[in-house]
Formats: sequence, structure tokens, C-alpha cells
Amino acid sequence: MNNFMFLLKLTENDKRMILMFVLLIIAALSLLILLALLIEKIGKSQAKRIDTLMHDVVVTGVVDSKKKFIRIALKKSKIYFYRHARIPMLILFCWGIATLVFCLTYPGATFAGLYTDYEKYGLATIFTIYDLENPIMTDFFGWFKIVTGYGDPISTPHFSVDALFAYISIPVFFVGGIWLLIDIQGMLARTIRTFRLANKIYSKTLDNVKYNSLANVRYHDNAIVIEEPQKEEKK
Amino acid sequence: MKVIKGFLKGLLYVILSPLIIVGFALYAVYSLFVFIWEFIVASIKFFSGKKLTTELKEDKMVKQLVEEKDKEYQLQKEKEQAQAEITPQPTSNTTINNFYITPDQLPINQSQNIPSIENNNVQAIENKEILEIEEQIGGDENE
Repeated sequence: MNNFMFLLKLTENDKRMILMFVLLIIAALSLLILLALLIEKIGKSQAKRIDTLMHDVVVTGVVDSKKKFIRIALKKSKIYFYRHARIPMLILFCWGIATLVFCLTYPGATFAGLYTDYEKYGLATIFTIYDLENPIMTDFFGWFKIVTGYGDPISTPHFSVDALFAYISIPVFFVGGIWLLIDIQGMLARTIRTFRLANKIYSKTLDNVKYNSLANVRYHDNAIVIEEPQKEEKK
Repeated sequence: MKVIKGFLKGLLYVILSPLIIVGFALYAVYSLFVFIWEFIVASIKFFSGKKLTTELKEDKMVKQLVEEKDKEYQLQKEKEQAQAEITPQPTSNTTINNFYITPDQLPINQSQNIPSIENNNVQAIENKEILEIEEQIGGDENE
């Protein structure tokens, strides 16, 4: 009971803090939701490529079964992925070789240090770095302690000649990596659409079929004749 | 309603995002193996003078089918044109050896046996009969 009495003791400042906190959570959630929906939309448009690849062989009847459709569509999708992923893979390959050479030649350099070193050769030289191991902790309404700030920065942004390799290679890595991820997402989207299309195009349904026993009855030469339906030749 | 549905769908994606990320990471590893395999296949094809394209043998079958259909269509067209040239065009004029005669110019003499000329049946008439008809026409005009 005493724990809930604090609500009556909230100052205006406390109420503003709670409101800001809630709004921050809502904003972060909304951003994530929009990002997820954007990724879904891009995936749907990438998946349409399989329609272009498979249109002619389906319409002309060359592909006449679900199994064949899936086999050929997946093969084409993989070849399409390979042809589009060559450039980002080449970028990442060159980046990998260059990073390996740099780490072997620069004294004391590590792969993680390319990102985190704030003194000489890392990308962190151009950011403000705080002492994350010793934050300022504050009580949250007497329940627990939360991080409310950090002390003075241990490094301010400065340009370092030794870090030139990090300044160039890390953006190149991100460009190549994101490009490759988009291509991988495209292949995944095409795979999902392949299975959906295979079920849709080659499935048979009796929903609109109505059996009518009088459909084959004919009046011929003053007699009622029941014609047998023509049997289809098996392929 | 659409906005709410979209929002809820997005929320579901955010909640399931750890599973989706794990699944995507596994698929990314698989796609790297796919890339390596296709690279090997492309290299082999390159050194044997071919190219790795999305045009498979089924697409070549489609091209063949389309070419055959084109040829059939061309042959059909040529046949129809040839047929049109051979068949004569029927006329609707009444002619007697290249002289056009209106019905009122024909002699109305029931005793005479004037050959009937049908539109599509141009019958040859003897010169003697033509002279007789000309004389009769000339006589009527004089009257």
C-alpha cells in the first residue's frame, strides 16, 4: 500500500518524465513497426520477379506440373541471385582481404579495434566516447537504480591519419553488406512466392463443378441416347 | 481499419523479430553456399565457352514453339493469298459479248427465242443473233 502512495506524491516534473518515457517507447515501437512494414513491401515487390522469369514457360504449357514449376523456378531464382550478388560479394571479398592485410601489418591492430579504438586507428576517433563502465546511477522511485548519465567524455572527436583505413573500409563494408542482405531477402521472397504460385496455378478444385446426369443425354433419330463422355488420352 | 490492421501486423513482426532474424540468418548462410555453388558452375561454363543465364532448356523449348507457330501462320497467310488470286471475281452486270444492254432495249417478241443471259453465266452468242438484235434496236429508234 505504501508503495502505491507514491502516486499522490508525484511532482509535475516526475509526471513529465513518465510521459516522456512512455512517448519514447511509443515512438521507438512505431519506428520499428514502420521499418518492418517497409521491409515487407520491398520483399513483395522483389518476389514479383519470379512472375517475369516463369511467365512464358507456364503460359505455353512447357511447365505442366507443380513439381516441375517449383524445380525450375527455384533454379532460376538461384541463378538470378548469383548474377545480382556478384558485385556486393566482390566488394566484401576485397574489404576482407584489405582488413586482413591491415590487421597483420599495423602494430597492435585488431578487427574489433577498427571500430572501437578511439586513440589511433579506429572509427571511434571521430565520435565522442564516454566511460561506459562507470555510469551515473539514480534511484527510480525507490524501486531500482537506472543509468541517468555518464561522466566527462574520455575522448572527443578528432581526425587521425592512422584511422584513414577505418574511415574508408567500414562504410564500404556496410554498403556491401546491406546490398548483399537485400539480394538475400529477394531470393527468400521469390522462394516464398514460388511455393504460393505453385499451389495456386496447379491446384485443382471442385468448388464450381456441378454434376448433372442429364448433361450427356441427346435426342437423336427419334431416340433418346446417352452419350459417353470422351476419355482423355493419357500422356 | 486498414491502418489498424497494418499497425497490428507490424507489431506482430516486431514481437516475432527475434525468430525472424534467426531464420533469416540461417537462410543467409544457405544463400552463401548457393552463391559458392553457382560460382563454381559459372566458372565451369565460362571455361567451356558458355554463359550462366536464367534461360534454361525449357525457355529454348518455348522459343522453338513460338518459331514453329510463326512459320505455320506465315504458311497459312501465303495459302490464303494464293487462293484469293486464283478464284475469279463475279460481276453483277449483264453483258452480251462486251455490249451492255438494259432490259428495255431487249426486243419484246415472244415468238423469238432470245437466249437468257444470267449475271454469272456469260454465254457465247452467235454473230447472226447479234445482228438481228441490232437491227431491231435500230428499227425501234427510227419509229
